[in-house]
Amino acid sequence: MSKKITLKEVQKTAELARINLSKKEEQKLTEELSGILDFFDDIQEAQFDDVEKFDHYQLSNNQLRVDEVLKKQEGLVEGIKGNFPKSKDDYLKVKTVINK
Amino acid sequence: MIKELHQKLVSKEITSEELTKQYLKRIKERNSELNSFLSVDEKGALAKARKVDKKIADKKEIGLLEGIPYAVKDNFCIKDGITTAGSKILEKYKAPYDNFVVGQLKKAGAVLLGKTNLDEFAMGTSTENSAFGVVKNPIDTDRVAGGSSGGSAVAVADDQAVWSLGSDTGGSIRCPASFCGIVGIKPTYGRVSRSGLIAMASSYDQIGPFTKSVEDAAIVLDAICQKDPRDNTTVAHNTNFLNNLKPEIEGKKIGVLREFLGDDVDEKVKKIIEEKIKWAKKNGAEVVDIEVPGIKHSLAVYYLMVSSEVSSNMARFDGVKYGTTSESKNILDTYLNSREKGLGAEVKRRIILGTYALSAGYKDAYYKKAQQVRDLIKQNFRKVFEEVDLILTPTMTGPAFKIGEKNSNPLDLYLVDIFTVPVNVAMLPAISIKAGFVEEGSKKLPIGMQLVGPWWQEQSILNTALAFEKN
Repeated sequence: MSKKITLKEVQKTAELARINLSKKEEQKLTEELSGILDFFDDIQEAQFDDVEKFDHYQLSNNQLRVDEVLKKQEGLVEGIKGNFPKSKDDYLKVKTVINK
Repeated sequence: MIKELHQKLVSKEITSEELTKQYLKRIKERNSELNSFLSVDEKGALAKARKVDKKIADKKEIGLLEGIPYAVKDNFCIKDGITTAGSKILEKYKAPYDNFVVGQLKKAGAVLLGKTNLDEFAMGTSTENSAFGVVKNPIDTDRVAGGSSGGSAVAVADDQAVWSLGSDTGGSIRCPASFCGIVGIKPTYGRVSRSGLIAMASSYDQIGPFTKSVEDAAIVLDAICQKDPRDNTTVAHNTNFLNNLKPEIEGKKIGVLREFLGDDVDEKVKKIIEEKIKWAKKNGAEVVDIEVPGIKHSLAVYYLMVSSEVSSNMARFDGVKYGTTSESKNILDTYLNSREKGLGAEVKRRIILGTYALSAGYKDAYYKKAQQVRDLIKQNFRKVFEEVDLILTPTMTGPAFKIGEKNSNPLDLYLVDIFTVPVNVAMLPAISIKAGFVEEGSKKLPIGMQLVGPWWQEQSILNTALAFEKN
């Protein structure tokens, strides 16, 4: 399924990935990604029928945790709040989410 | 080295404070040139060291790592300090909790000196992608240290720390260990908890140590291999690598991946590996050529899956809840601008690549197919390990390359991971130890060899590595 990625696809993907790209970056990525995608085509040639899944853990039972509230880590909430770029009272302040 | 230093501490030949000061001094002298450390916690380290000294003075018993100075890669979250992950977007980020492993080491009394430089979010093979500058190889400062845990490798190789921790997603511990001439281990996927390690590709990431010797690696592994309820990939295996450490070569069946020793591999590297094979045979090992069907697809599987997982893991860095934020008129522009300004070229490349590979219409042809090929490779490694105990390869295709040498095409850099990547694809454990040197001008550049073992067989790897080391 060898295919070249187009400039338009790069722009659309960057938008989905929530990254602004400069015109120069868009151009450069279009070239680079086409090369890398060509390289990915390598896996299309892999020969196999049904692959048996091998689980290297080989545990006899599932890893479950007890259904209980974990002890609150000291200073965790303050630490998280301390990283807020902007806050008001105890809340994280963000820019407008829905435009009028 | 750790054992000897421990002995010196216990016999009061040296105090932990003196030892710590010695390492802090070395960092000060060397860091401006090598750029291995991003932050140094002098106060915290000395306070910890004094605590250990007090314990020794009070005739209390101390553990092997207690009072010994070490360093961690800056993608390990540490409470209160800054955790940058080598990225501008986390330039001022203060983690609200400790990484699990670092937490355990704190309890064990190890002295943390500081945090080391890395490729941004651990994406790279040379530590040229750090937002805070390139890490230089102490053996030849025109060359890279390897990556992505370049700073951690340099810290140990250049005596700026007794040992250090890194993370390995596709070779990020073994590559710099090879380039800097020290020991590096990537344990089995599931051995070491990643909670509090900033995730890159969650089905590949694994934490491991850099040390000067195989024995030191066993000591550190014993301290860090534990079950952690916050990382459910970890298992409760009791390990005692140090007590069971003994040189093993006679009777070992070692596989050699002939098909991989082609034109891409430096002739001098091949010669060093052949010498090692000869030595192993002479000392009673049985060496056989092996093939792992499907292994040639490892790099494509790896970069495809890793980019996909990266695109998902990196979504959290959006400038809203933490990290560098870009003032914008609405929340969408906050995302777009914060990520534009905060993330570097390689990170953006992988996010976009992964987003594309996971998008509707391509998901089955890329990610799902890659997962199937991964299963195939894993299955074929299992068959090989029914025949041999270990696999021996060079760690890298050549010695450390020059800074900037492989910057023009990202694919060139991806291809140097040919020996390390299949190990992560199959979730296997592997070690890199120094196998020899190649001479470039007046410089003797180290070459690493890699020993890969079956899942959970770190002991076998360590024991055979010890035999090679003693040679």
